[in-house]
Amino acid sequence: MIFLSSDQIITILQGVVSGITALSWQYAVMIIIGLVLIHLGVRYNLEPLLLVPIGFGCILVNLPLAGLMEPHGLLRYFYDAGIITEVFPCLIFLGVGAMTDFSPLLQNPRVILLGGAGQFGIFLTLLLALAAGFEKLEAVCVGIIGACDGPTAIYVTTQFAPHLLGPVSVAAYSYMSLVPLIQPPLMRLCTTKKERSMLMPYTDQKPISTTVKIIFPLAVTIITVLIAPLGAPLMGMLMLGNFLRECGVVERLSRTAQNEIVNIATLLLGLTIGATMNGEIFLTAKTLIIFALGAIAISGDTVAGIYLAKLMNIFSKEKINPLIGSAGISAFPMAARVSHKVGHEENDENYLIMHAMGVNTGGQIGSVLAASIMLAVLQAMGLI
Amino acid sequence: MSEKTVTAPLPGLVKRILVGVGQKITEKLPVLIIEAMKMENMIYGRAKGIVKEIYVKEGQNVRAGDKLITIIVAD
Repeated sequence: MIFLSSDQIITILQGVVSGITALSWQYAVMIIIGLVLIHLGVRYNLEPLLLVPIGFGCILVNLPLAGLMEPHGLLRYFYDAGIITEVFPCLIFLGVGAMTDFSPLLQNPRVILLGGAGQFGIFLTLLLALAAGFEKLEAVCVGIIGACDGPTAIYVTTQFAPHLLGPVSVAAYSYMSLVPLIQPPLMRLCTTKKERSMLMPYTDQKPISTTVKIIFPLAVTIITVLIAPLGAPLMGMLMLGNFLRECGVVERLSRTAQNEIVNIATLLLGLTIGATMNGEIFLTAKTLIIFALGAIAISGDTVAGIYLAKLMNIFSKEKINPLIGSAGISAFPMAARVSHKVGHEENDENYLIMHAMGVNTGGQIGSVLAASIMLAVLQAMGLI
Repeated sequence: MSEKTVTAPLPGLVKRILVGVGQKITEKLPVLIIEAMKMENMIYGRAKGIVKEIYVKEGQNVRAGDKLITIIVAD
């Protein structure tokens, strides 16, 4: 028989429940947030590929004493290997490039301008963030939520304000999943019924030649990297992925980029982003401001795209339905589907999807380019 | 009596054909579903009449402008 003194029993009990006693209110709130994210993903099928790993990572990192984000913690290894080095966002871009068919953009190249307008929110939010008292580099990272593009936001934030990685990337991903809710009311507000009903016939009877499709990623890489060298990792991977797809001789690599690579990177990226949602860092007034500014960023993108489309109609004979302007944000392919749906609701002979896809893929190039240009400007200003 | 040919308004996959040759249709009746970018799009005949011919099969990829069905329009 082993006899334990009452002191020993208390020590043992304390050891068993130490995790529970260390659970502060911040951790508890974050665990609930993690559960909400998972619930949204599983129950409502809202971006489950992102929200499930993010939510789970958030729960894991807020369980006290588990130490997964401490030095030598499992998630810290993932973070150091894939986020700090920016390998995960770049691998995702490789996959996105391999998944993207740029033909709708090549058929109507002028819509790339709308992809540029879809980045307007970045610069608007940058100014607002500066006005709200964020430091310059932090403001850049808050602005980049307006790229509406998770990997780009993570890429930029890791470089300039890694302490904001949690709020910025979670805001970026949340708003991307909310695009179908945020955009339609704004789109209706900025257009008349007549504009929304405008038919845009589509034809692909003369398909884009293979040569053009092969040259496109090469040309974009060379031109954009010469303009904005700091964007080379993102743009390089995006266009390499697209080249694998279009060149026609490395079908296996293209399929691997589209499936295995992107799936592994998405899982680890999501989990690790969730792991940056530490209660003590995340639950601050700053996070709330970042979320508010993020909403403005995406609204700004949407409105700018629609008005540029209207402006283009003044100067061009071939009219475009302004609804496709809102697809200039790079949330792919949600933004294009939203344009299509709103147009179809107004006039059921209207099938805008392919036009909107052109704008949407333009937006993907636009967001990487906007981020690269911003990096170049910061470098020129001596801030990095 | 006139004929009307319905063409594909967008490229995609013919997911389902909802009518048969000889069937009477109305303007509001969807004749087939084309799936594009994982979205299902109802295609309507937009005419009252009888289906004369169907040019596509389920599971077939179509380009925008391809003929889908011809309708004999009732006067």
